[in-house]
Amino acid sequence: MTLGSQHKDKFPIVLSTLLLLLVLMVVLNLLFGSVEIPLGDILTVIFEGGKGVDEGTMLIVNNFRIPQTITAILSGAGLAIAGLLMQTLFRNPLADPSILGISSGASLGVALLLATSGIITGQAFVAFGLWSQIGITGAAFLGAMLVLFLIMFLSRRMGNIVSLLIIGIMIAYIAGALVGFVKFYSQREDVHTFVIWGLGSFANVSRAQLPFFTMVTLAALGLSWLMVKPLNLLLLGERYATNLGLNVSRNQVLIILIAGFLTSVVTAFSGPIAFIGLAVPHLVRNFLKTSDHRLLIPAVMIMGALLALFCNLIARLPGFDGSLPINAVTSLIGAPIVIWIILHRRQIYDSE
Amino acid sequence: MKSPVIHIEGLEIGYRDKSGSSVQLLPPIELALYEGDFIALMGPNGAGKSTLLRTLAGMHSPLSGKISLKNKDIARFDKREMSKMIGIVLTDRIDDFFLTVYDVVCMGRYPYTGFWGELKPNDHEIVMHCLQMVGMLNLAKRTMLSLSDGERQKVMIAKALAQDTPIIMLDEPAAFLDYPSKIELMHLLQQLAHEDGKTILFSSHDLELALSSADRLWLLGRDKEVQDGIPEQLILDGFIGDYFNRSDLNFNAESGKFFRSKPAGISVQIKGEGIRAYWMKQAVLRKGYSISDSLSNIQILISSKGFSLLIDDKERIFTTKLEPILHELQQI
Repeated sequence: MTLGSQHKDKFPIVLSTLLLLLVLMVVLNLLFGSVEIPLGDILTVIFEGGKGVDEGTMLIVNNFRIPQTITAILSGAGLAIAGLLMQTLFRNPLADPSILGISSGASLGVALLLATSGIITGQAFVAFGLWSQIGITGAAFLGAMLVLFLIMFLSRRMGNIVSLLIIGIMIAYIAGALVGFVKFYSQREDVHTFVIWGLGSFANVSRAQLPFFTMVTLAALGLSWLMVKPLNLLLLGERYATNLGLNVSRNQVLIILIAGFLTSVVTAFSGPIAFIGLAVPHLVRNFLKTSDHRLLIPAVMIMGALLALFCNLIARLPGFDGSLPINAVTSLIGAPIVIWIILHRRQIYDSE
Repeated sequence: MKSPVIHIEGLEIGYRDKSGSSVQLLPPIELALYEGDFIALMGPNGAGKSTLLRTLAGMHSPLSGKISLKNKDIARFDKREMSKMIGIVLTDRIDDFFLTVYDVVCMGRYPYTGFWGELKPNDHEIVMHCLQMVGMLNLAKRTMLSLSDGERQKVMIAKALAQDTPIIMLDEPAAFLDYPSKIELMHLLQQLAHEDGKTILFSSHDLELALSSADRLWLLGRDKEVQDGIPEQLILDGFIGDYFNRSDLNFNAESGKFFRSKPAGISVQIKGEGIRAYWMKQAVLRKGYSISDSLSNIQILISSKGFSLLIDDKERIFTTKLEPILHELQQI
């Protein structure tokens, strides 16, 4: 019992409700898709190795539905935590995982890969089949990490965190401009591939890549949990945090590293996904009425996973041909959430 | 003799720029602070108040010299030890939407907590006690955003109290407060120093406030020796006037106030005693005239009936109110 003590009694109820909803969302995500599979079959595949279920169904559940659901959970949780860390670090409610230009770095990586392979081989990148997906993931990750290291390098030369924020935004503009150039000189098919990647998808992670993606994301999520005390102290601002014994610059670097790494990994595998990182921390703070990171971190993880699964479900609603671009869905759902929170807050504030 | 809580020897403060050359703000400082001291750090803007305060709090490195806290060199303190030695109160606003008064004061206990920052029942008792000391217990559940500036300042003092440090340093604690809140704040700090034995150092550019409440002043002026003394002595010795005066401002040692000096330099002689003479003087000074003790061709006579203005021994006006006199003075 420390921060937000008067709301802590509510916390177990909120958390168990969120977990319950998460289970429900997982089931719905496994259930719905282009092919109708009864719930019984899905449960059999998961818990009994698929006895008596035909091979086609097993293939769909094992190779598509399960990886996609897990990817959505991890991507949502990862982006939401990255957003929370950035918002606390910069003490800015509009900060999100893309604020330091990391996702723009990923875009640039992908664009450069597509263009150079086109120039060297004279072929469109999609012609490389299976390898193209791994190549894109690798290029996105490299691009994102490159920006992250650039940010880390610059942050050591800089006294204050606000100038870092401005530099991050400028890096995003530069990367965006370079992507424009690259697109202009790329082949039509490659531009199309880039656009598709930019729309985001939780279906890019194959069964084979899944263990790696899961491990790396979980490790970074675990690390974020270790930062609760520094994060809480940073709420008071750098100078008060220093006076309370915190090594501020070291912890700022750690927070940027964790958030940047989460953003890099998720963007590499799922493409740039907007608004989850921005909306989820606000949503959770509003529900729990607290800024205590010991409560926020677990709740933000679950809420992030929940929102990603929900968007994934909407994107694959029956009636649409195939699935809608996930980035568009998260924006369509996330932006109104943010607007609602801001309006709701004004009411709280005005009534005081 | 007691040993000082803070001992400053040959301290030079300032900045080093990238080329390695340093900008020294003040001559070397030799000062000592003792338990229960309530000291105001005074000086015009740019004199180095904040730099000195930050240097003493270990948040800024000195150019040279030595600072000892309880006989231990400040350079040998690690961050956590420092957080248990000096609590600071800044003008930084806390703009988080959900942080409550209670939350913020709890942060003061963080130096005493483990890795997760979990507070023990004992810590909560301390937090409640500190809130009570600053009179904010009934507002414990309010969010910081919903408080007035004065209330916010008290919360930050409660935070510093929860830190349980022998020293509390405050940077411009009265800067955004209205007058009654300023007086209340000074009273609270005075009480903490005198009754609870805290050593309190605060910076301020509010001269009148510091003069009327601090035990001692440290007077700073750019490139001038730091003067240490009780406020009244510093006024009598002319240091306040010397350190603060600008070409368009003059310190009046009699009233302890600054007045705008008029280029014309008209001086007025006021004859009379008592409270009405006092306020007549204040009004004349406020208008930028100087008061002369010797014979002047402009005189104001204060009688039991009212005020009369004499110029060259001729009565220009007689009234029962102050304002007509000032109005008449302006006609000269």
